[in-house]
Amino acid sequence: MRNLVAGVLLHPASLAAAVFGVGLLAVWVFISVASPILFTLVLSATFYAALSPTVDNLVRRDFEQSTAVAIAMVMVIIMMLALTALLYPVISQQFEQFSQRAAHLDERILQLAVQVEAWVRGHLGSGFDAAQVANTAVASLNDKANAMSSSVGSYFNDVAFSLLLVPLITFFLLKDFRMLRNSLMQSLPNRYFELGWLVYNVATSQLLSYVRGVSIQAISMSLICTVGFWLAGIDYAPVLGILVGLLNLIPFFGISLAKIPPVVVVLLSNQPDFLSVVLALAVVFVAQTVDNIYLMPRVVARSASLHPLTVMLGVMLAGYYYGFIGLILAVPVIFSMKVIYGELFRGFRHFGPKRAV
Amino acid sequence: MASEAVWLRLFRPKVDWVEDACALCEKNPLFEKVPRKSIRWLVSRMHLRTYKAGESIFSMGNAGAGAVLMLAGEVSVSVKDVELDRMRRGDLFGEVALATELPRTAEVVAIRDCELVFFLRSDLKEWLAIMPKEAARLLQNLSKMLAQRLMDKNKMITQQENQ
Repeated sequence: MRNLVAGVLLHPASLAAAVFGVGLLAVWVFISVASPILFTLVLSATFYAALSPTVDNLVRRDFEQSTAVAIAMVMVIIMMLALTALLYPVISQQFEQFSQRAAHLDERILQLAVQVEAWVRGHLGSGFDAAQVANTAVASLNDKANAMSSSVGSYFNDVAFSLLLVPLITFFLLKDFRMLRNSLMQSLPNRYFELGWLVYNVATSQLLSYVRGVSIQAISMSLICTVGFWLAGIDYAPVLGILVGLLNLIPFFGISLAKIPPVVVVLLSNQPDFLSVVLALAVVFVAQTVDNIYLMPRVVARSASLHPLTVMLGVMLAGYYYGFIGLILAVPVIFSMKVIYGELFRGFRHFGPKRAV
Repeated sequence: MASEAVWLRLFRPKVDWVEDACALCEKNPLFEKVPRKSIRWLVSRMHLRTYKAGESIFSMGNAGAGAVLMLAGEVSVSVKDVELDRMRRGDLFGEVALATELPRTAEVVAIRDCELVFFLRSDLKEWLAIMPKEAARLLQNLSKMLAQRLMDKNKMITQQENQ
């Protein structure tokens, strides 16, 4: 009996589950404690991943690590300032236009309600109070817009706060990440030292290639859609392109969700017509075809190893609990968990304690 | 399992052993014609571990993460309880794992308290990305060492067959 219990407890799957559980708990505690600066940390990690090859390149050319990091950071800050100077006038102009258009939204809705009411009265013999329907719709939209503007406001507060901290954290990550990582790995017991490194290396290489693939997919989709919307003469092409690129990352539901923003923008334009709606949908359709035929099989094929039911349930639950961010991050998080557990299991099969037979 | 506390491992100063390990690497055929500056850069990224007498360093059949340089102590290399060799300060073993993730071909156990420096395959990959010329020199040395070992094994098998 004791042998059976020891056999179950020391089974590689149990050991992997225990270590995975402890790791998950540590991540949860970290996320809870670091939640006020989580956005800043994610942004810094992204910059670290993007700048790391440049720093390595400079080190290869005989620069000291600190000097290489400082040069890379200065280059990025200059680029960010230049981009802000170039993009700010365009964005502020588009935002002003959109605000003006949104101010006349109530008139457009009332006009639409009157048209529908006339059509219903003509065909069915009875009508409804168009003004009341329009007022209700505008009130509901106002509530949603207020909620959205407060969340957007807090998002921009986060961004402003991050702008101060991100360069600092990125600098230290670029300078000391390897040292910190090695120090943490040093805390492993001798027996699991090599296993720890094997799991870390395989997991990070798979996750990096997945993240790289998804980023290429999102950027390609955004570019295709931006160019398509611009050629079709649809307003706010860059913003719409980025939005469609992000929505397309959501499995199963993204393919439908991505079609909503361009259609809404066309309907809110000065002269909404049927042809523009068809063109907007055609652009998204072409981009999604390119994505399905070319991008998905080549750059994110590894994610296909997840079972469709796992992905569907994961996306639904993540969307329910964490909203839009949850929808976008569901698949990468499930994929990471699968890779890490799989590697731990594989490692414990080779390195684990000998079980009683 | 070593009884050393986690915080001691985290904050152990590195500098003391780096110079010592650099000097040993310079004498090892694996680092032949690799510039001293590059060796120092690489060694500063290696990992010092301490083992008590009797502790297993790695077991036969386990996947290997890298090679091991002996800084102090003595280890026994054996296969199926037959001792093949003993390694001491300056010796390097497990270098096959630098080239590939094949299972370890022998059991290595510490005979006395040891200080070992792990040179991992991932360190070599990072080095290859940052200093490709120097890393290529090391890979060339590694392939020479492995080819020599293969020839020695072939010679031994032929001698055994002749007897």
